[in-house]
Amino acid sequence: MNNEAHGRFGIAAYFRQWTDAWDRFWFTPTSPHTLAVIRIATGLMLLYSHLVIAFNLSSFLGDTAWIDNETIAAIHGGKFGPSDAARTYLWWFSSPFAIWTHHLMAIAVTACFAAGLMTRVAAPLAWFLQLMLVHRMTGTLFGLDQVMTMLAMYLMLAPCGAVFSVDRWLNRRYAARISERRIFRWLLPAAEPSVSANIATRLIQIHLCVIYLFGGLWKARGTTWWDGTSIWFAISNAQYQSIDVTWLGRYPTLFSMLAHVTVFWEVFYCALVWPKLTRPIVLGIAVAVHLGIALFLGMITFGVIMIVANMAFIAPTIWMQTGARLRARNQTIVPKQLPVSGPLAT
Amino acid sequence: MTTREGNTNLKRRKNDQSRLLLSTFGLAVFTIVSSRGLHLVSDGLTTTPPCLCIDSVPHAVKSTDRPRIASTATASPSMDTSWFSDTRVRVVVSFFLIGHLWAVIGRPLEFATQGPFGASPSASAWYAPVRAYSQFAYLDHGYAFFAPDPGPSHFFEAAITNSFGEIVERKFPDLTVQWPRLLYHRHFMLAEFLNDVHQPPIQPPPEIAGNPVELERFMRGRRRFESVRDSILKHLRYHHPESKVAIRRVEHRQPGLPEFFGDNVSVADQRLLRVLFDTIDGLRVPTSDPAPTTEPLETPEPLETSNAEAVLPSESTP
Repeated sequence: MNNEAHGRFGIAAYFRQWTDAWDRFWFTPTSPHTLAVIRIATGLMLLYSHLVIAFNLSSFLGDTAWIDNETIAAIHGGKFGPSDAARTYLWWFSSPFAIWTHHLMAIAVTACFAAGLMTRVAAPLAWFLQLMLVHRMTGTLFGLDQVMTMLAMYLMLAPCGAVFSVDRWLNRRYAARISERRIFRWLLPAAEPSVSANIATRLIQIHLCVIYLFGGLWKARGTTWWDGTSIWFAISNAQYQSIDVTWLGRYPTLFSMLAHVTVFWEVFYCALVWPKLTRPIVLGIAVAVHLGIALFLGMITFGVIMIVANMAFIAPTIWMQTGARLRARNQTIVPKQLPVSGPLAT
Repeated sequence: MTTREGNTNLKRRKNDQSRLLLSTFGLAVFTIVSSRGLHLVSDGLTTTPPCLCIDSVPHAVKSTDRPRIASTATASPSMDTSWFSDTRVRVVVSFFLIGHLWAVIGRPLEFATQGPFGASPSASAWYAPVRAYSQFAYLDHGYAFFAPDPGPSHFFEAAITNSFGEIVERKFPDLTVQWPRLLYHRHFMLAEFLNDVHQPPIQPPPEIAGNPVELERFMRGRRRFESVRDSILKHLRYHHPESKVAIRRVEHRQPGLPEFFGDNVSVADQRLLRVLFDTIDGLRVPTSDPAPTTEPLETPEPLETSNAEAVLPSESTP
């Protein structure tokens, strides 16, 4: 009887531990500073991507694009294989006026998102317009688009415009009026810890873990990542190469070690990024790997956006302190105490 | 005990030890992922406990305490913090989070389990309920960056013949034309896409001849390639209205280490290029021959044209 009761209690306690852990993991309020930094970087990258497309808009959108409207609709619509849900109204945009109007709107909204102007509205709009664009641009997309869209999606869930933004300035400027109405408090949120900021941060973190885990598992299926020659075949690819580092080929021990570290780091990122002890090492390798991709493999945008995504593991306090230091430098006033909050607070 | 039995026991013991080691390793990974990932992680990251107030030092919250989000705040909580203090809200949000994470992991899992006969049935079944959401939200990626092995890259060349019969050849992507680098990369991805969707115009393999589903898939694959190719030709014709246009796909492989250092084959060496033929005639298709074509650009090029405008026969020199 005692054993039975103890058993029930044990299961209940175990279940309770799980729900507690779940609660703490997802529903502990955190400050929006980290997300605000990610918002600025993602917004600028999105803006850059839109501007680059704008210089060659008819090559990517419309009836005379590299992949025309009819072909793209057929690819996604099931004419050549299983139909999928990657739908966009841009399949039916043929008029240059409509395409340009849409694209200029995307640029304007993304600029607002990056600057943090009306972020509560601009963030979901920026994500949606990007989503519509990527569903139209099948065939010309790569990792940059995947990560940018992912970050924009999670950022719209949080008050990422509460700091380092025009919204913040408006919030201070019209504080009295904002406090009067609930809609204004939602539209121009205060820079305070919130659960939604934590949820967005956690989603970015977990998504990043999934990206690296499957990236690592895929590499583990190849042979060159095991014999260590993969780095050579990456740096000697003329189509990717931006800075010639083929001299690395003279040092097999070095380039094979880089290959092994990459696979090990990617596979175990999802476990080793969480403990405080290993987090700086894992993030340090992430920066090194993505800087390498950015500088030597010609994918500056992809390398940068991956580093930006990794910032989700940086505590908001770091950005608060940085912001405070910058303000102090400008005002020559050093704040006595900084607010500390969030699951990543150290 | 005979020597044979002794050897068998020794082997069995070794096998047991290996299994034990494997199990321990598996358990360790599981513990790190699950415990560190959720329970210990939360503790680890909240050793300095979460402070819900913005105007005071952090509270000391015991790890066994159930989080009382609103009550631990000394300042008035943010709008969403008070909203999330309701357990029902947290349950509903948790439900959506699980659904979303299901979609996040679903496609990479299905993609990673691809074999010669398609994806693992269990991975496909796992992904099926969230497939549409994942596709619409653009979460349906495999994340196989430079994997399983960094392979050769591809580009395509266009032969544009104007009304005077002059031929201009253009390469896509081309760093000297497409600037900034992001624009070049988008054209690079286009060339890779054209190569990825390529399916030669051959008779279906006999093993799928009796399977109408597989047969239909095979035929559709070719139609997809033709549609993409024709769209590219249409784009080029739009920019060169009075000209005839044809394209060819080219593969650019990397030099091996002995080639690079021993034979002085640079990464841009023409010997690393291989024209990819569209048709198969048994003689001209270099299917698996790794030997570089010596002067591929001077061999008869398979210039691909749309069926509607057979400007240049696919096996002729422009």
